Amino acid sequence: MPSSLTSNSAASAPILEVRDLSLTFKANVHRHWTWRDWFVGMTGKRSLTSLQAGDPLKVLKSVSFSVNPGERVGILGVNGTGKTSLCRCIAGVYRPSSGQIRLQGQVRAIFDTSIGIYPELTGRENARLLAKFMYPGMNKEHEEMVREALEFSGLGEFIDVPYRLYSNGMQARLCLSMISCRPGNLLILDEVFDGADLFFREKISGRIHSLIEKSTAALFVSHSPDQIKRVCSRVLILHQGRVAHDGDVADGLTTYRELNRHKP
Amino acid sequence: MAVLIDQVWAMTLANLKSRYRNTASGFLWVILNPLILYGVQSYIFRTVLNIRIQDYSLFLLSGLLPWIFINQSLEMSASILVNSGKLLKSYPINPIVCLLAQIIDNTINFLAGFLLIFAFTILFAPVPIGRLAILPVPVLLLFVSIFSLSWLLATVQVFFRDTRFLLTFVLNISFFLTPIFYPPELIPAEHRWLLALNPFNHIIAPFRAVVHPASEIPLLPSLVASATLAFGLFLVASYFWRKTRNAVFFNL
Repeated sequence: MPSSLTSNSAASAPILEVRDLSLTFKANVHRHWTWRDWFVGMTGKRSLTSLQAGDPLKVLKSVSFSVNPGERVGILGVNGTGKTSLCRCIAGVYRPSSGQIRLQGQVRAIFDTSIGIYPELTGRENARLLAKFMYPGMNKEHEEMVREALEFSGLGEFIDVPYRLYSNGMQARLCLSMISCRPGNLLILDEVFDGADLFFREKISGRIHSLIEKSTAALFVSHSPDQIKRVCSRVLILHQGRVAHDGDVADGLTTYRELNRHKP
Repeated sequence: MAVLIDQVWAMTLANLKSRYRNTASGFLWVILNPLILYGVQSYIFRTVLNIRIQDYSLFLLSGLLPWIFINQSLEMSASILVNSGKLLKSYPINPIVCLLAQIIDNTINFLAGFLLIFAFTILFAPVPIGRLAILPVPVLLLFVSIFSLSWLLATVQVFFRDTRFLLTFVLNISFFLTPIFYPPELIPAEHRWLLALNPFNHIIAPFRAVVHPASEIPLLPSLVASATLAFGLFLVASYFWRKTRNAVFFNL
């Protein structure tokens, strides 16, 4: 196994330790192929071996950092620097090509708030399903969580309306209320505030701050330096798949601007 | 494992709820398709084309209903990873949960349609009770085979986006190449090797062996062939998934 996920209950140890993490996608995976293309290639001059052509796509290169309890770590970087891929590795969606991820307890991650599991079902029914996936093994608490999250979301009578009729902001309210209804060991929020309106953003920020205080850590991915400054106690700047800065937020934002000064 | 089962069950119930819209008529609507297809084909082949097979109703039931399940499940599952791409990348949902929920949902519809027609047909063409006790085995083998094939196809669909269209074409051909509405004996002896290569034939044969004794299909060999196929497909699908997991998520 190239990576390992371990668990123990030591409270003083980092919640997350990432060591020499690399993620590479094989050559042909970033191409869009159809059987028709393949057939035309086979019957034309291109051979089947052309499927293996191309360079490996190195998304993350030897990334190392750790997160301690109570920390709010911002992850900043321009598009394509591997922010979301890093979070997906930590959340267990991607398997790293090499390196280690040591995690104490459970990670709770959300990468998009504009999608329901079943758009035809109501907000309440979707919230119940989300509880199953976000809080596995806590069945006895699910009803209470859903009730509390729906109340916090302020969706009122829209709770029993099909999810597909929700606006982006309403969907964000439901998802963010669900993800923040119980403290987890590590919370990953990947550009999720973007869909919510200003007032709910303020409301949810308060709730997430309170979650972090309950010995939880969080990783925030954002394109907004202002948001990082407001929410985070530390920042990680990713540049071309590597960590370019890990530490103070103000210094990190300076590094971020320096690195991308010449970009259009 | 308990968590996975809990999630699969929750998603299956949500699937059923969204399909049936919480009504009995919703459920009836879903099983109307196999019922009508069975009724029309039974009339055409027995009355119009005059196919002479003892207990033709049972014969057709044992081939057509599993075929409808195979067809619907593969068609619906082939695009499941692509269609759920945003969902799978947004929430910590195991893609296998989505796939299993879809196949279980279809299995429930299949069993409802199958048992409904079977209960009616058996009044006119009795089947030995001892054989019926074995029926869950072909159902289980059908489930495993189609789940594995769906898993494989859904994974391939991520890389080759026209797999679903190719599948429809293959299924249309397979309907005629598989002894569903005609007995295998009608195939000329020199072409019967095709049956050995046809996976759908191996999946359907145990049903026929159990439900239509007049076919005289040997039960044990048909079960062994079907189980080997189911196990083999599962191994191939899980190996392919392990090899391509990251690439699948990357391409969603």
